[in-house]
Amino acid sequence: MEKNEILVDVKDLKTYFFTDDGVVEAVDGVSFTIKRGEVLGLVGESGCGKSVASLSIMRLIDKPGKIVGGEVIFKGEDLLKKTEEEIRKIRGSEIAMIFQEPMTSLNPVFTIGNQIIEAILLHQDLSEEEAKKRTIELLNLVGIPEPERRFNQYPHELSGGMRQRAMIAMAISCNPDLLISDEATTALDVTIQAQILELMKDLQKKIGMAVLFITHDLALVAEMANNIAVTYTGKIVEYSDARSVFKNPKHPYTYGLLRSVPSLLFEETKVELPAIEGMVPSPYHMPQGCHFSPRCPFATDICRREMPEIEELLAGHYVRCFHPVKVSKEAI
Amino acid sequence: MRTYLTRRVLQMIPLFIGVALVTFLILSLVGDPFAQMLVNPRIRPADVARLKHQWGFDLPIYLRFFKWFWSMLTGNWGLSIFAGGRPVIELVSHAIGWTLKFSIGAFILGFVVAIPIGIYSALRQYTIFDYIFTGFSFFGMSMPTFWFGFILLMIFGLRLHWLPIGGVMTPGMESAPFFLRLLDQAKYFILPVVVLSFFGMGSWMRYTRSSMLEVVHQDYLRTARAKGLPERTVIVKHALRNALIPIITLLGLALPGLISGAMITETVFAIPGMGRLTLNAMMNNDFPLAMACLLILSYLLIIGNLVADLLYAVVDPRIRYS
Amino acid sequence: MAEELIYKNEVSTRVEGYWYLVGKHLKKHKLAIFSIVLLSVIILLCVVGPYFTRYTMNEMGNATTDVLQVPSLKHLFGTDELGRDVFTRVLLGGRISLLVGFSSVFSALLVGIIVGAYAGYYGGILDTVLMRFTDIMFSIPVLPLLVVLSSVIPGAGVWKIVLIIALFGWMTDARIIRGMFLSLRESEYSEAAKAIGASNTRIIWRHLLPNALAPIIVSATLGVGGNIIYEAALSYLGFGVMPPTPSWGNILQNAQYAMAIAPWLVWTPGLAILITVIAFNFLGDGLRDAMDPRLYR
Repeated sequence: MEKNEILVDVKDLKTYFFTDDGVVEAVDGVSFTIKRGEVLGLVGESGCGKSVASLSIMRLIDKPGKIVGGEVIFKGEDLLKKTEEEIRKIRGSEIAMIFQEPMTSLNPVFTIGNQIIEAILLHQDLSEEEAKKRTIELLNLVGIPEPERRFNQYPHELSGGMRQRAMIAMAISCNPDLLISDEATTALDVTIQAQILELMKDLQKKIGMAVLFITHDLALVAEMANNIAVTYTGKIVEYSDARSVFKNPKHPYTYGLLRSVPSLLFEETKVELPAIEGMVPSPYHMPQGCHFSPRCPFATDICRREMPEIEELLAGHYVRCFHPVKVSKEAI
Repeated sequence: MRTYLTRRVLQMIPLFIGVALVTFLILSLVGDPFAQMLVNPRIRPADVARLKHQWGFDLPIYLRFFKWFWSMLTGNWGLSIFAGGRPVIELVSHAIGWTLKFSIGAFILGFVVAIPIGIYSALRQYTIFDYIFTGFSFFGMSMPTFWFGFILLMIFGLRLHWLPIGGVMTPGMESAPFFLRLLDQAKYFILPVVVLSFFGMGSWMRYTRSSMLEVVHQDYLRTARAKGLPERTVIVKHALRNALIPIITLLGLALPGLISGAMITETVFAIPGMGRLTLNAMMNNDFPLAMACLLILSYLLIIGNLVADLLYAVVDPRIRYS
Repeated sequence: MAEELIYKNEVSTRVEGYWYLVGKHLKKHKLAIFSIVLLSVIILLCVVGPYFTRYTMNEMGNATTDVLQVPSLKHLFGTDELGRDVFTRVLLGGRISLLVGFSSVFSALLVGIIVGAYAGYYGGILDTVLMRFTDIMFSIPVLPLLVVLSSVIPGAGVWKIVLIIALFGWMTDARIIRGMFLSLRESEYSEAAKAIGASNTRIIWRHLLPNALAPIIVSATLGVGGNIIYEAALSYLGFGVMPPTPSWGNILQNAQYAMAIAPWLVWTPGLAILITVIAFNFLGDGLRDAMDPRLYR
């Protein structure tokens, strides 16, 4: 398979949650593609559906959630149409996922080594001895010192950063084609965060895997991503390559996010940090029309009445807005 | 692990002493036990005098406890007042066998029934199965054991004549071959064991269900699924193992209930166990017997808790390595 | 650029108090509501009922004709071995059993809260002593302890039973409270209160205690049910409420001998206990769900 082949093609994915208090359209028509070896940053505030989208790809959505529409084409086949058996084979071996909280995401009663070996033995035809060797190699690869000793330790005996490294080791153990990182660095200290990011960048190049990098922190994606998709209330509002998004944001939301990031290089230290007013609407009380309109400084009548479709404004730069920002921004 | 073990065992010692102290203090409110003994024609005054000395009752009060405690530790438990001067240790050793037999039986029955149902209820939350068994467990938890015993006795003993209404053996069976004796005893044991385990079943079912529910929503199960593990493995290997931890603590806490419950069940079903012995002791103001009974029951409890704590450490690595 | 935004989303401006939310959640729990109703009926019956029956607690009918009568219109629950009307006795017994249940829980709670709060808050020696003491008391099985206390402490009144049960019960509550206070002590409420200069006492009673209330309330509700059973057990064994004062437990004591020929003597007080305790358990469970702290994060 060549380098520029499309690995994942998500088309109009819809995942709804049917709760007692109403239907929550957590993911409402999301589309994006990831090529082999590429990094896509999925950005948005908490609750905007990015995690749900990634779990949908892995088909890990449970009641009351349900994937109600769309396609997830992975290596040419629609994952949503596969049987449970087939999906299980893909999980962990071709698509792997790491989560936000390493302490709770690792089983406290089994050793790190045990849990990593489990993944290896499940998907690969190795003996226990070989699996153990491979695990120790992996622990080394992710930068855990004294891997033989750590192999027999329990999660609570490791620090937060090391746990996350162990999680990463577990995820890449079967050389997946796609790694989904769901806010994997959010719960860590800033310095550790930087280390983990470095590690991920490193591994990504070494193994050549694609990464779906989910975060609410713009600064992180700037470092890693080839492309960026900005989400708001379950829909993608801006989608382009990273450089374009940062230098030339077209959606008012993206624009607002970028403006609100304090920059150490900012000359105008006396200027107030502009924040986007208002709050993300409750999923049970979505505003009519464009979901961002109540908070948007550029909103007009049509914005409050109708939901804009996503359009290719410039080459490869998609925006969902009736009044895309015309100004170009010199950022970062 | 070894440090944990030693620590726990050492902690038991002050507990043993403390319990003995409390028992001693409570029962010393009763008055002079030796006067009672002297009144009983079957007890020789010489024995009473010797006992008085061995227990330190001829000494001032603050020294009494230690001498008495030492006597208890060395097995010198005195003479029973109401049982015609027989040594207390003899009475207790006969009784304790019965109590242990059917307490353990009740424990196993409760365990075997409640835990699987509790787990299954958690996995099938909000189904009919779940509702029925939740109702059943409330029923079990609210049921006064002795009343339940009556009801069963009435139905199975009096109306249907399937099972005997009390006692532990059909007269004449003492000399029968082992297997027949066992079968005979089983008849007598069914009802008391069921009754004793009933309350436990109710609360254990509930508790298992809720701890399993807690585990089922944990993140590490999501990780396990993301690795591609089949659902069965996720539940049995990852979830259950964690749910086991609170269940084991629960079993440790179940002991006091069993011992208290045994007292009642033994009375209803006329079983000559420790519970009934304690009752008789209290009713007759039999100080030596009562002291011994209370002490033994308490010590059983303490040891049981220790075992539970050790099991807990075995199951939860966070306890072992912290 | 930053024009005034017209915030169109619906925002609830009503500040919903904690108890209001608890009430709302509780209403959803049908079983709990049913239990409240049921319990009210039972309490009403027991308190007021005896005034309306034709019999008194000890009125013994004719020795030959009225003894051990099957339930009938004349005697709703039949008569016992002394010719007394069982219905009246059960109602009166209810008064006693409920009284014991409530007052023992209440007194246990009072002592338990005070001891637990101070031990949890101040820590140190007070705490260690308290914990050792409760450890010891927990190591002695309950019923044997109650039996022993009952025969050791002189007197035979209902209040003696209340005292004994409370004596055993305060420790469980103290433990819970102490645990809560230990964690609350480190919380931000405590720091904030100190920062504005509140005295320790004030902190304990006005700031920390309301937060610890939820498990107390649940424990108390379940405790009434539990204590009713303890009282019944004690009375049945002969160490509780003494005849002729009826309680659900001691009615059953005599019932054992007449079991074969007068099963209603066994069914009626037993069912009374069962229904009442189940109701308390349902209510307590419903309260526990309604006050689940995870819902109020």
